[in-house]
Amino acid sequence: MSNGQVVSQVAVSQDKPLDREKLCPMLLRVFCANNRHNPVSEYNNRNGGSVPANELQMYTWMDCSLRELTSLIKEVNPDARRKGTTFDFAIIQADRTSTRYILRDIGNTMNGQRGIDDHKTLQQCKFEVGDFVDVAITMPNQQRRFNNHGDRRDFDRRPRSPIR
Amino acid sequence: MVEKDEAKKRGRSSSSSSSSSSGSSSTGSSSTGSRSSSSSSSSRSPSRSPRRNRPTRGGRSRSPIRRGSPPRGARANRGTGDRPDRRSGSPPRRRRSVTPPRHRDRRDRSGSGARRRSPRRSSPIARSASPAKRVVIKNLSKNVLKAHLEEIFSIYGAIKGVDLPPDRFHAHIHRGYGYVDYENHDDAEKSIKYMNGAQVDGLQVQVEMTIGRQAPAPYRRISPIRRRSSPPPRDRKSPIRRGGRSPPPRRRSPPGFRGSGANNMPLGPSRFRRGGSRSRSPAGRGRSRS
Repeated sequence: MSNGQVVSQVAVSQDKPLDREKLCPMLLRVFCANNRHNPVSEYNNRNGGSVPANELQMYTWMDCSLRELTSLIKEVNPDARRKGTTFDFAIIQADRTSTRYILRDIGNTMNGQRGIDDHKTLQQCKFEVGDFVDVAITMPNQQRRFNNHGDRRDFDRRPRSPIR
Repeated sequence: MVEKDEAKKRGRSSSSSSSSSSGSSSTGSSSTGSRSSSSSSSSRSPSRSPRRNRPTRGGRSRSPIRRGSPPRGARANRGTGDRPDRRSGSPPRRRRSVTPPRHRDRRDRSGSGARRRSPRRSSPIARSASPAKRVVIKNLSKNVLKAHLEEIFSIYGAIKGVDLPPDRFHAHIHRGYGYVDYENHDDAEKSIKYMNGAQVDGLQVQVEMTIGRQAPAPYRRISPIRRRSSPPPRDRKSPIRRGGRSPPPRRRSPPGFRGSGANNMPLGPSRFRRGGSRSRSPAGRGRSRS
């Protein structure tokens, strides 16, 4: 039956279906900043692991989608409820081979508009429990500034292709 | 504190109101006794659920939110900055040929590693505990602190100490496993019975007795056999061969002194893992050659 059909042999591990009734939630530490990500240098090992100041702690599951995270952030952050506000998500991980931390972009969402990353889950982004999530919140009339780390120069050129 | 809000629905954890309060109380529906308001642990704590007799309640699914920066209080204070740097003392040697300084350099680096490993990091627990009272907890998330382990595992009996070995590069992050020493063997058994397969911070942890000192023995056999079976190609260019002139020195010192390598990952008692013999072995080679 699968003759005419190309099936990828490199199976990306799909999310195991996760039963939220059986599995207890994990702690997710989210750090928000306006217009930009928190500088990675603010995550460091000094004084026993320092992190940026504005921390949100959530309890959620690995199959939490970016859209869901957005709604959780909006819940506590009334400013971010305006339509057109953009949320850029990144995972902050401790580098295994050095003392640094690594910022890895995983997607963005926008209020009132469906996007490609809306249904990305933390699991799909290779999130590990204990990693941080850094969110850059940009109001509709402001401009995103991702200057503090170099690989984001092409960011604004990236199409925000709305889905469907 | 132990947060026990499970969510009930499968779908998106709905945004419900009033969860933005900055308190640390579990905002979930009727958390059955937020047990043991821990004085020691910091305000954020992973949620935990013992495997047995978990109440199944109906309710909404939610992801409660807490806000604020917690004091990262209970934490093993293993400093990072005070690593001795041996190399700084010796000026660069110019007069010698090219290769010996390199060897020397390498040995020094591993030497400082060995020193770092030595007295401070080996906890007294590791020395004194007999293995039968010691359990290992695997698959811990990075949110779990020493105080959390203490709190969770002291339920099953008096504990002598908790060991949570730090990551190689990040002193405040552990490696995903920890050890708890109980006063009594029965308590250790009990903790295994209840906590093996239980969830801590959204992860299923495995709790087992630690295996004894003799465990890494079979691993050691591997390397001489493998080396003999693959002879080095003869047609190499000369400089490399000259460097590797001596197979005999490579055969490292008595096998009894080689700890289990870093491959032997998380299990055995932690003192085997510390530092890893991988960093040590070049030193031995360099010494025997010169």
